[in-house]
Amino acid sequence: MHLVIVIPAYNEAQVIAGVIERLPVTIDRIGRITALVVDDGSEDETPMIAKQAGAQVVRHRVNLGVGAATTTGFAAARLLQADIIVTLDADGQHNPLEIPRLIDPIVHQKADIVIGSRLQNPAGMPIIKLAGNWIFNIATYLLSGIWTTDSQSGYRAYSAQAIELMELKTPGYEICSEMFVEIAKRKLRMIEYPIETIYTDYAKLKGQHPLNGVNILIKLILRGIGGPK
Amino acid sequence: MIAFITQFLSAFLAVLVVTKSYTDFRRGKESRSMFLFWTIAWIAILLVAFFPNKIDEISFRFGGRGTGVGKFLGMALVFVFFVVYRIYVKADRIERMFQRFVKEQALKDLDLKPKSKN
Repeated sequence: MHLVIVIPAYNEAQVIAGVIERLPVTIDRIGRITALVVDDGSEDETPMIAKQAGAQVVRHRVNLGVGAATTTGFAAARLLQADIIVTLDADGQHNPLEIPRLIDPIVHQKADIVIGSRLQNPAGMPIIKLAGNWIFNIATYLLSGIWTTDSQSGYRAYSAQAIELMELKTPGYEICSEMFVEIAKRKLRMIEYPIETIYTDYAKLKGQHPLNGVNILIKLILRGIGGPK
Repeated sequence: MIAFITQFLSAFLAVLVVTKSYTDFRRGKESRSMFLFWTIAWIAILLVAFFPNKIDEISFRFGGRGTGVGKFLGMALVFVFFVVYRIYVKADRIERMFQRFVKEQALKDLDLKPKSKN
């Protein structure tokens, strides 16, 4: 089986090499692992450093947003004939050693999508982020009808079939919630898996503002995503 | 006369916008919610254009000067909304084309015979 690890990155020169170097080199039942960085128009040395660290790099010439970077990663994974795809954040907040356990339900065909949930064990999460995540979770539930403990997690695993079926349109952070709408629409099997989150000072500075939940909800509605099924 | 021109123009533009929006929706170029938004917006504009006296009555009730306000609002709304619609359609289309172009360019970087991590 071929595993492609998609890492959308924007101005992550400080941390991207560390993320790539910590990726697992061998995983049981996985014959090939490709680290793929989708550089979303960074103005720093992110693409060069990622390449030197051993990742394949595809580059948006301008910044489009994390949603667009993720779907470019999915398109690239299809071209690379991936069997399993993992997405993880480039800011170092996800522990790459959890990849084998994250993909396990897909390897054993028990799920199409595995959501790495930071909120099943939220110890250490700043209270403002915790509150913000609840706003996002409620917005996601209203749009998709799926309740999840972590609608905004970027640490996810997908089967190749799930990637093929989902029609993702949004270019920004809205993609995290849009994916749940697609999961419901395509009747994909989803499970959550508790993950550890590493809150470095760097990672705390990144990410979304909790009030962005309202903005995301409006954008999704305007794009015709969600609503009554 | 002004009222007749406003009504004629608003009806003409409403038909133009709603049919264009419906065609784009059927072709998958526009979302259902945007189609509904434009349809409702233009129904509201038609109501203002065809019943300006009602707007005058409402304006008078809230302390404004009733005379002519409805007609003026009707004409202004027709033009403003038509311009907004045209700009929206063009901007949306350009944004999608631009995104597709950037993504296609990015995929050209892909090495289809890569070295594996393991």
